[in-house]
Amino acid sequence: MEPEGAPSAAPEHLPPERVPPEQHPTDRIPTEHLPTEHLPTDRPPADRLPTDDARGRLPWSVLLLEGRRFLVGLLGLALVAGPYRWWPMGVFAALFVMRGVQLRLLRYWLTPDSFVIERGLLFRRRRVISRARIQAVDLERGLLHRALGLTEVRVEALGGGDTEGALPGVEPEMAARLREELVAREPGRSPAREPGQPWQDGAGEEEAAAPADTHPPDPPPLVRLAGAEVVVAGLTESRLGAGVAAAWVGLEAVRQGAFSGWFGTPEDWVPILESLPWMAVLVILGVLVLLFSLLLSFVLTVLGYWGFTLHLRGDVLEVERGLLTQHRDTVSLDRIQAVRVEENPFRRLMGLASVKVVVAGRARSSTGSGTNVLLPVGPRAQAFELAARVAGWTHLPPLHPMPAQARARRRMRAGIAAVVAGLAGPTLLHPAAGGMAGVSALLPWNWSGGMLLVAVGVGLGVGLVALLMAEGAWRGLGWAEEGSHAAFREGTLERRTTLVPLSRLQSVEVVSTPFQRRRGLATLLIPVARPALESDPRALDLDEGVARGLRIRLLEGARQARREGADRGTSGLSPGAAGGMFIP
Amino acid sequence: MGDEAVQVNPGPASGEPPLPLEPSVRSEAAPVRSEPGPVLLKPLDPRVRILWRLAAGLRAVVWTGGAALVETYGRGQPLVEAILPDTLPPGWLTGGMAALWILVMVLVPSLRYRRWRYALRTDDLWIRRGILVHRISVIPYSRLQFVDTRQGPLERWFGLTELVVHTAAPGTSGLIPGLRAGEAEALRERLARVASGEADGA
Repeated sequence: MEPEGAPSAAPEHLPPERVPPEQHPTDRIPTEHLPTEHLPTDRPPADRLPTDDARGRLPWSVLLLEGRRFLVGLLGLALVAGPYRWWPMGVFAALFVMRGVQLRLLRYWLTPDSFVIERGLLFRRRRVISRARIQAVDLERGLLHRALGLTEVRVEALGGGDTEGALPGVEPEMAARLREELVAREPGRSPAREPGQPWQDGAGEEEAAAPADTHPPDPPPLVRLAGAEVVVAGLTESRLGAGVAAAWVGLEAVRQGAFSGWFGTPEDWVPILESLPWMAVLVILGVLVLLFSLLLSFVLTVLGYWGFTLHLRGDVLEVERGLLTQHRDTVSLDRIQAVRVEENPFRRLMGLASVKVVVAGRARSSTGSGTNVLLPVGPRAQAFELAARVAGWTHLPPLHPMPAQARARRRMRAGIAAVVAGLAGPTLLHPAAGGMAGVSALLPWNWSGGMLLVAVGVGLGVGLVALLMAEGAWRGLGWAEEGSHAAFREGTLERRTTLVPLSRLQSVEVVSTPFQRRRGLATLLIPVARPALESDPRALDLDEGVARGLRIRLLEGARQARREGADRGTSGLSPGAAGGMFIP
Repeated sequence: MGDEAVQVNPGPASGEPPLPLEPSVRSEAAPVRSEPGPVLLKPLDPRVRILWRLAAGLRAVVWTGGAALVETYGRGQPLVEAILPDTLPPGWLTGGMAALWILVMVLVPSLRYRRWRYALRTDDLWIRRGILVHRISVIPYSRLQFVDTRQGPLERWFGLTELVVHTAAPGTSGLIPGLRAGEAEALRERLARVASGEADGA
């Protein structure tokens, strides 16, 4: 708890609106000229933040943290080259020392309008991140970080796919202060009213850790997941990709002879597997991979989301989560480009949904999964309510469906799939092709019309499934527009609804392929300042005329929203205008 | 070639009004109103077609030359044999490649020229392009981050310039090729001025 005796004369809860811009100059007046009542209570003492005169450096323990990478590299090398080659170890030791010197030479500090990191041994590189460009500040503490009493700080800024400013490990108190200071974007104007526990182990959100008499109680969190809810999130999360990859690695390890003592050697298994039809082997393998990936996704989800809490302090969203690796991710509301509500098939069956935000500069790959999640899982109504609130939409209107031609297009595709399957099926399934031994034995090849029968059967089967999917895909489509916001939905099995505040609109595109034009359809895209891996909000297969009309309305809505934002003193914060990046 | 009025936006929305998803809840009329009027779209400098043809010609030479090399020296190589069976007449790859590129040279520049139009309106920049996939981008000036002009060696020879417009969104940039150099500079200055003015105001 840092400003122990800080005077708290400011109102207990800041109103959700930001202070109007007219007051900014006052804030910039050096504090000694101001009576203390005017000081925001949460102002971190300036002397404790690194400045150009007193630059911050990383603590010694960071070397131990970085040491883990060299340990992994060393182990890999020992496996490949054998442990008795000393020169590779020497190279690694030299690299480690160099890295250590580099880390010790790293300096970071704050200026009134930027965050600066200077690093490098021979070539000093200085990265100056303008405060106006900062999108999010994320803190992370892995097990090793916690053991060493360190916190990793990642500053995400507009532009550039990677994390702009990363400090591999600083003291937790410093991390908390940096976060508040940088999210505020203006020197000494942290919107987070509660200056914050230095975020040590066990501190968390416990009221007991805060001196309750000097600070008003925290506003209740928007989301707080109990253990059981995290388990539900884990059970309904589908991270099949990661699971399949892990299963493949596992199978490869088994093939290479790892674990051979546990279940017998692969040689023991080969005769058993060979006695089964290979279709059955395929099915068994598939089920194993599926089970494994489900288990892995469950474990990862539960560990990642354990203790999930979402707070809205001022206009800053703060997520705390994680059992082993703890995360504290912070993003300001006006940095959110779009909000997504995702309903995967399991969750749709149970009436559940999850909420994610799209934030520029916060790439999915670089920050790991889950950084942009506002609600891992919750009742559908709660998810949409939260998404609307974060997007600044008072109420969500019902979505319009796409025209019948959009459905016709999908049915047409299903028909094509059926015909292709009917044509290709018999050839692939025929015993002469050597494939699908298990199935082809059951098919009536010996009958004169067998080939045709199989073709029709396969075609009908595939066609029926494809037709159902087409219907689902069409029903998944939807759009809504209302003044300052738009919403688009798509997805056959997993439905994704994207809410876009129109003040974030960068341009509007209407795109139509020849197939769409044949049916009088077009796709409308709203490019926003998103990470490169995300996709832009879009309305697939709108009626062409509706798309044209909607385009004008969206542009008008964006203009209005920005104008209103300017009146409230909150615009200029949208990335386009805020950065002051315009360079003719 | 002078300005040409191209009706990008017909008056009222021509399609059927969107059906209410839940009729009992939403019973308003069509939520989409008509647009104010047609947008005047300007064509590019006609000489850009010749530039595109030349550029395609250069690429044609490279590709056809490559094909000829493969056909002359690739005989007997297992990889080449697998892709190009011997049963086809000799010279078919080179000939086919040349024919394809001649077709591209003749057709694509004209088609692209006819589709590629732009309009500078009071608040936004319109760009229409795309031969098969039609694409119309509208970029409000207030969202502009950078405006660049680009000139390759061929463009310099023709005295043409390409104008590139960037917003904060990744990958979305407006592109106007084939502007007379002076015009492009003037346009860039004007866009920069309008954009900074808008950005300050909004």
